[in-house]
Amino acid sequence: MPDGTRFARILPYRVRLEPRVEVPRTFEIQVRILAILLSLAIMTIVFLSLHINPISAFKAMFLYAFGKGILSTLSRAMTLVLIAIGLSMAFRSLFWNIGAEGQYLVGAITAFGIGRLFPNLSGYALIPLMLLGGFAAGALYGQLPAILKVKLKVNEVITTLMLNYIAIRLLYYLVYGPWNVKEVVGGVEYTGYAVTNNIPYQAQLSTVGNSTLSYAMMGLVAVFLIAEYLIMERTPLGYDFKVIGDNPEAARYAGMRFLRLTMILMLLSGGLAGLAGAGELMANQHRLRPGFASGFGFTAIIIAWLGGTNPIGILLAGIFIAGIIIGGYNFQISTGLPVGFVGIFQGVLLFSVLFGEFLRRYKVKFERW
Amino acid sequence: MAGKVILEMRGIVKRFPGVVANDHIDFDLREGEIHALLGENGAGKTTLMNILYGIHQPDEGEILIDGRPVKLRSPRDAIALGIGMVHQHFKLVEKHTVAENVALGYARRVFKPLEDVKGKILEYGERYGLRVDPDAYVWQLSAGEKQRVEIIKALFAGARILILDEPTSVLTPQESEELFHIVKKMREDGKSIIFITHKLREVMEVGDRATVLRKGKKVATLEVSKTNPRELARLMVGREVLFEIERPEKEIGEVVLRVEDLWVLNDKGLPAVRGVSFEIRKGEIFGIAGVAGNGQRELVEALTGLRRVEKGRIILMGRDVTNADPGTLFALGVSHIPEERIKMGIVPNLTVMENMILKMEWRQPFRKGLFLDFDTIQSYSEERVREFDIYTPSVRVPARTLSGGNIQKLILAREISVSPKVIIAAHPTYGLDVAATEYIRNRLAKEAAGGAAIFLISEELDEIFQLSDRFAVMFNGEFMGVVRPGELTREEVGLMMMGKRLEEVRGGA
Repeated sequence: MPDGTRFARILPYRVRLEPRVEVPRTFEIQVRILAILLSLAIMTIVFLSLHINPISAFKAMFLYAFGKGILSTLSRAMTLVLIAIGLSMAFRSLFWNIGAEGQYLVGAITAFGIGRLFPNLSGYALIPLMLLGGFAAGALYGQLPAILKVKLKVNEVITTLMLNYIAIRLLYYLVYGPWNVKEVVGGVEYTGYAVTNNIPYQAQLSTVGNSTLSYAMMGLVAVFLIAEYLIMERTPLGYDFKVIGDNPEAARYAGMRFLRLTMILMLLSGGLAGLAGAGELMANQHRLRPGFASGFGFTAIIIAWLGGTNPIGILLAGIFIAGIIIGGYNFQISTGLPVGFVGIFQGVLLFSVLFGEFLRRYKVKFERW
Repeated sequence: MAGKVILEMRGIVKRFPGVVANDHIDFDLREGEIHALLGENGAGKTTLMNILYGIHQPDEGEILIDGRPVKLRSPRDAIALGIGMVHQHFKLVEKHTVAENVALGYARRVFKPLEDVKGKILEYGERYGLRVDPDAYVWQLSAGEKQRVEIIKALFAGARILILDEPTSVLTPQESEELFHIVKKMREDGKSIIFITHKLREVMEVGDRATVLRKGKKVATLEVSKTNPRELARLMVGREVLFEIERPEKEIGEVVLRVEDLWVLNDKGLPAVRGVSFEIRKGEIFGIAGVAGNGQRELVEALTGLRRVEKGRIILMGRDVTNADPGTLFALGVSHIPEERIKMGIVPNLTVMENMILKMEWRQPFRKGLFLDFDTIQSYSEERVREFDIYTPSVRVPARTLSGGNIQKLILAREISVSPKVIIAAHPTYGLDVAATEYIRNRLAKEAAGGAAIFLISEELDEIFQLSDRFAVMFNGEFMGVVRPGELTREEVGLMMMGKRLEEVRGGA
């Protein structure tokens, strides 16, 4: 039988899914708000099971994230949004780039290497060079899955995901090996810590007050949000990306050059992740350590989904999720919750967003038997 | 012959977002009658039958079987009440045998379920002419045989009301004749049959009564013996229909496309086109007749650069374009109206105007520097919409909101407006309503008169006869012969579609 009528009639209703023909814009927004509310509801249950008052928990989190900690939130948001812009483009063209984490890392590593190589260059030369290097490294790192997908039909989810681990191992090797910290303080040489030296002082981006929110990153995010919009909505290139994403058969029929287009797509998507890595290094962390990435590339996936196809949406989603992370860390420290708690919140949010996506695509109907 | 009314549908209303698919439709069926349900695509035939088969629930109205109101919430309910449906697309397990397919879901015995199933299949074969080997694998069967298996499945489930949805669309003329024969035998046995179609000839051939739907409304129910094709066509379309297309005066010029000993593989890696050669001249329409699955699709894909040519050559205007990619071929003047218009021909979520410039998005004047020039694109698209009479509220709505006929006109507009040298048209009117079909056939004839060389593939013999200057009949990857319309009868062409060569047909073998 074509439908589920074979199942025993346990419930008085059966569920029927109808694909939505028309999705109004307001509904797109409603679905996303619903997803956020749903995740808050689930987290309420989590809090209650830990005997924590959920209202005071949320209050503590969000008051910190969007109050005292707003600059930290925005700083984190800039890095995440930069990655998410690239991911959103890739997803709209049906390229499932799960490898932003690795592209981000090779970007940071390359920027660090450039800084290490030219410690005496002036900031005006070194800063653009490091940022450019980060972009180029991420862009190149994204080419392998692009070529493998088009030429050999290798699933890009696998290749991009696996390349993350290679990048992480490369980071470990450099941090513990050749780039390990060598500092002489008061005649004593310190080595063996799991960090590198700081990047040259003149390459450290200037920030708002003594926060980690840099002017350069805000500028880059603004530029690339607009650029993404223009590319996707106004250029023949974005047109081709959208055709591939909406109907790959039509793209084939139209004679589109898949290899070239996919390589350009990953140049942008990987490049932005690499740029974000360089920016995070230069604005915030200043040195590499094993936990340098800590899942930024994955968090950005949630942002790209939650933000939808609209640059403002991506920016807002980025700030919201950065708020959860920053507020969550703060709350976690003050209440002594386990470290995994922020991760749980993010995971719950991703599932809620995916559930929202499902509601956006299908109308769920309950019918009496 | 026809007996009491066994099924009544009263005031059926079904709304889908934006359309009323069925608007207060009344329909009744008598015992032992063949009731043709006639209407253009989008008239609501399939929706009405899906309601009867429990796939959709009506928003209003009621259904009575044997005078008792029933609720059909799923096909399971419909089957229990003796309703069977044979869909346009068969729902069979290809790797299983006929008997196994039938036994799946209908066998009553736990052990050796196939035994009585096989016996029954043979019995139906005798009784209704539903001849099919129970031990054959489904993938070995022709479309006509698969259809018989579907009918047998419905009979096994106890159907006394059988719905056939456009049953002849996949059949050769001979297979269609056999189907008519089967259907008539079932009627003699007291079964009631609803025969969905948009072909008038079929209504006249098998129907006892005919109900005509138009735009979701019932127009009339009439006795077939008291009507004629012209009246049916008028009711179906809402105006007088000319069955002739205009064939403008034209000159056949030099060879534009030459194909030499072409070999192409199918998806399974087996030769699907086997040594085909032909040429098409300027102004000529060259048709390909044949049952689907005999290499037509692979031939089209090879000509349009979508499939590799293993052996042989394709020469366009004296230039070797064997294995050129689709983009290059389009740039050289090869337009392609694809078989799967929605799957391949449009980008459903992009707007009508964006679809109108597919393949041309990098070209002047649609691109100015780095950016698309949406003002030019819009005015260009609006002109095309006017010229090709495409029904759309604006060029800024997603292409998926258009009806099938209008999607086809959009594709036609896009492919023809670039003044192509060659037009590859695969089933250009398949599934379209009479008005759109008329329009598209006339337009293709006009393009040929304007100097295009047209390669036309169609399963509708009428279309081939009407349009082409010469046509080939394709069977099993080869041409059975190339003839002019009128040289052979329908039946002779039918024989070629089943694998007889022109010489054998002419020789009277």
